[in-house]
Amino acid sequence: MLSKIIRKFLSTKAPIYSNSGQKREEALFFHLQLNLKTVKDYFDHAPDLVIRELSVGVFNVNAALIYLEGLTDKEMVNEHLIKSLIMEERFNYLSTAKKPTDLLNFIKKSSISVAAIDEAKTFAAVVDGIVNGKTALFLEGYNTALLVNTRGHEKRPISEPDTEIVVRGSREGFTESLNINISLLRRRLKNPNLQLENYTIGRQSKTMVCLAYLKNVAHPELIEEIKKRLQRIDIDAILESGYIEQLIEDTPYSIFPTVGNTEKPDVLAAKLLEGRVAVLVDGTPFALTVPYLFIEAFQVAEDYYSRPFYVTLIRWLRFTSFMFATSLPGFYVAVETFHQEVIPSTLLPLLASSKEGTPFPAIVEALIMGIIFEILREAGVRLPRAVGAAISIVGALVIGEAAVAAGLIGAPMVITVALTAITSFIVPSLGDAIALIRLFITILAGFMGMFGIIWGYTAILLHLCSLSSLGVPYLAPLAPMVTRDLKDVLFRAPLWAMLTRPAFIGRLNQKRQNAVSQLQREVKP
Amino acid sequence: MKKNPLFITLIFFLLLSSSGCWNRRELDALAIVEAVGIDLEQNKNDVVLTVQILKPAEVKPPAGAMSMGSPKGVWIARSSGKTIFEAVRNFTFITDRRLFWAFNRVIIIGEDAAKAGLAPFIDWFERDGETRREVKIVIARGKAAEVIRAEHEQEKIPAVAIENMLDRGVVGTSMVPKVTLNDFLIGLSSKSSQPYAPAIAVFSETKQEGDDEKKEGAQVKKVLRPITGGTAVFKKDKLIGWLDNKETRGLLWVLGKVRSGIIVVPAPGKQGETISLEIIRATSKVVPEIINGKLRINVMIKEEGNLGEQMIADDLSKPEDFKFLEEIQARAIETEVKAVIKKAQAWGVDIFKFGEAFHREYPKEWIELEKRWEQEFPKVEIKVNVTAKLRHIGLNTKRTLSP
Repeated sequence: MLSKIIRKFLSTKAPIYSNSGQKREEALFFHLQLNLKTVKDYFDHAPDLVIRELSVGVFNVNAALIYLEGLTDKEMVNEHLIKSLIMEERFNYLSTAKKPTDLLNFIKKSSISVAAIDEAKTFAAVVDGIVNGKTALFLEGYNTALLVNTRGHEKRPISEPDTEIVVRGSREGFTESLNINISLLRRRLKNPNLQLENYTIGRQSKTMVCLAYLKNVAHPELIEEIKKRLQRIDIDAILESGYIEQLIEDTPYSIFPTVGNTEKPDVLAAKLLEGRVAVLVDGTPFALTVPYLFIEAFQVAEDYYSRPFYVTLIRWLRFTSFMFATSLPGFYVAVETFHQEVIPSTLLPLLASSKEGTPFPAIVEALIMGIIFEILREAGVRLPRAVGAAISIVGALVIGEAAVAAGLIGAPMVITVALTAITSFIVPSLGDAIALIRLFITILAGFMGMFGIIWGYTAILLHLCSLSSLGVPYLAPLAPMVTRDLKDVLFRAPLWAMLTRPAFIGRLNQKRQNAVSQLQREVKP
Repeated sequence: MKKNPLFITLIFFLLLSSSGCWNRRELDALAIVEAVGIDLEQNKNDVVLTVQILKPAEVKPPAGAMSMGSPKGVWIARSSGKTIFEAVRNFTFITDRRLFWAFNRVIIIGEDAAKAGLAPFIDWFERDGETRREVKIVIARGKAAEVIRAEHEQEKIPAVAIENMLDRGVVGTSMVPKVTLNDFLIGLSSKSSQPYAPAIAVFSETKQEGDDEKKEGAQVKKVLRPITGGTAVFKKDKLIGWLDNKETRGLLWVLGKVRSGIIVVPAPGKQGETISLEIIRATSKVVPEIINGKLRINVMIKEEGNLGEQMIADDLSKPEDFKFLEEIQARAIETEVKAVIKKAQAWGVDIFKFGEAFHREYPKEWIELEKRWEQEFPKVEIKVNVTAKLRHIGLNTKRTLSP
């Protein structure tokens, strides 16, 4: 029965409404007014559609500019289009003294002072240009329109991202504008090998999606595969890179992410340098990177900016935190319900006294506290900032203090849940997977104790081993083991010792630097 | 049937719930046993178990709860039966919770039970899955129940105090041996050597009730306190006699188990004045010899000590004085060792594992010797050779007030 329901969800019997009108492939007319009327019809007299009719220079040739207000840079339209068409055409005439045979070409070549100009012969192309912020120029007697790139709209300035905060390192983060994001990336990789390919995805949204990779590092097969996957996408809108992520990921049924994301240009540059491929999406500061491996969740930009010793300790803390965050409530439940003999005897009176008189079994306590924590977390994220403080008071005082004082929940359970909560924030990119694993492990522990925990972890490990991200094993370089790549897993090797790129990703171009050791350089007092 | 992953997952979760939390036991449904005492009923037919059961709320009162005086952290419960196991199950008549034995710290065996032979009483502790072999075993001078009932001023759980006293005995005085159930069972299973266990007793103390001691009419109460020291020596599983504190240390010298302690020796040249020497490390070596059919054991003890205290005012830091002190220190150790050897030979119990030493050194002769070891042991000639050294004299050379 379940399978029936799922199949129903997946079926595409519902008609897909297409907006590709029958008129779209129509060629432009020679008649100006007819052209204008047709374009107007396309937009159905949209209030932000601006049509400015004018006559070009001294020839008094009727012309019209069409653009969408809000998508275009007004100053650019006024200064470089209207002004030059009306005023400067007169000077041009004086210098040439005769009407050019191909006025359109003349205007394109010598009067519009804007960098990017295209020609369009069909209404489809014109409309496409207009919705992308271009200004269409129609001339009386020409069945060709000029599409002038006057794109420009309100943008959020570059600011420090809210996620992936670093103490040391670049404060710049991506913004919602694809152009700015690309410029941020270009500024870090000043190299023609940085290849960018644009795609327009989304039937309705026509979102600009940009594929970025380093030509001499990324593997061509990988690039081909990701291109194929991007072209396969057939959805009506891409509102965030999460849409792309879910449509191109290898294992849609897994709780583990196989596509990474970052908000920081320096991180993205580093990933490209390792041979990964990035997908930037207009309208979101989150860029995607593939292939994404399990171990990347434990690597942070700052790891590479600070000296390697403390970083190694921190990295092990992250591994420990991951284990804590997934297993601690389950372990506590198992110990309190099945394996009391493993409790250190000095800790026993404390645990036993806190359990004394609490009404619920340990598993119920753990689930209640776990769910309360998830509720608090969700409320804290969604609520307006001003109310956030209230949430933390309610969470800490009412639920923590009062529940213990009232004897509803044992104090060690509150500590366990609190510790779990803190540790689960240490590996943010696996956050949702951690929450699910924790629930899974807690329930197993409640039923089967330590046996259940071991069983659960075995299942998760098997699942992790079965995953891959664009052909790269998800657990690489741990399984399959690549000894050389452990330099960035079990510890963070000094930068001068990181001579190669990750074996599975930067296969094409393994050498990162020559082995000229810093230790060999001459030291002169 | 179609193999749908969702279907399989569903089946799995149903399977989980069918296990029904087998063997589930919440912490608050357990009566945690801290110590157990084994006595024989007067008519010698029944075994009496006295246990200390943890009262968690008294030991660690939850935050905000009023602490009332110093309530006892344990509940003393008593049960009896024909066997240990029956007595254990008979506790269900009086306890609402299931007895949990994994945290049992000490097994205290009453003198009567020890004299009657305790092998039958410890079989259950050895066999059951919940009890541990690391539990300390200790023999009470008198009734075990009295030791179980004894209170301790510092620890709310008296069993913790007893366990710590037994643990720290070797570190402090080396006059209390440390014997776990496992050690005792090993001693019991040996064909040549005999087991021993630390002894425990109670003494009564008057204690004033209430906070204000000067308050008039303050109730004066008699309380029992546990006290360790000495050793119970067994022949097979029957108690044969007691070693006093010094004899206990003599035993530990031979076994090489002395860790620390104080040796008080007479001061050189002065009558009645004494000097304390602190043992810092000691080793022993047992070398058996068979010369013309005669058995001989050489016990070689090496000891190092510090001059810890002097009651006389003389400066003892001179090498000659050191030599002299080393000499009398060695003699004091030798006396302790010889006393216990004499006692053991008189009882005919080899608690020093001399038989095992012969077994290792003379495996062929041992086959013959083993059968009459019990008769041979009292006749073995034992030579004690002590080498004592003094290392430090502490932070001053002379006593401050020197005439």
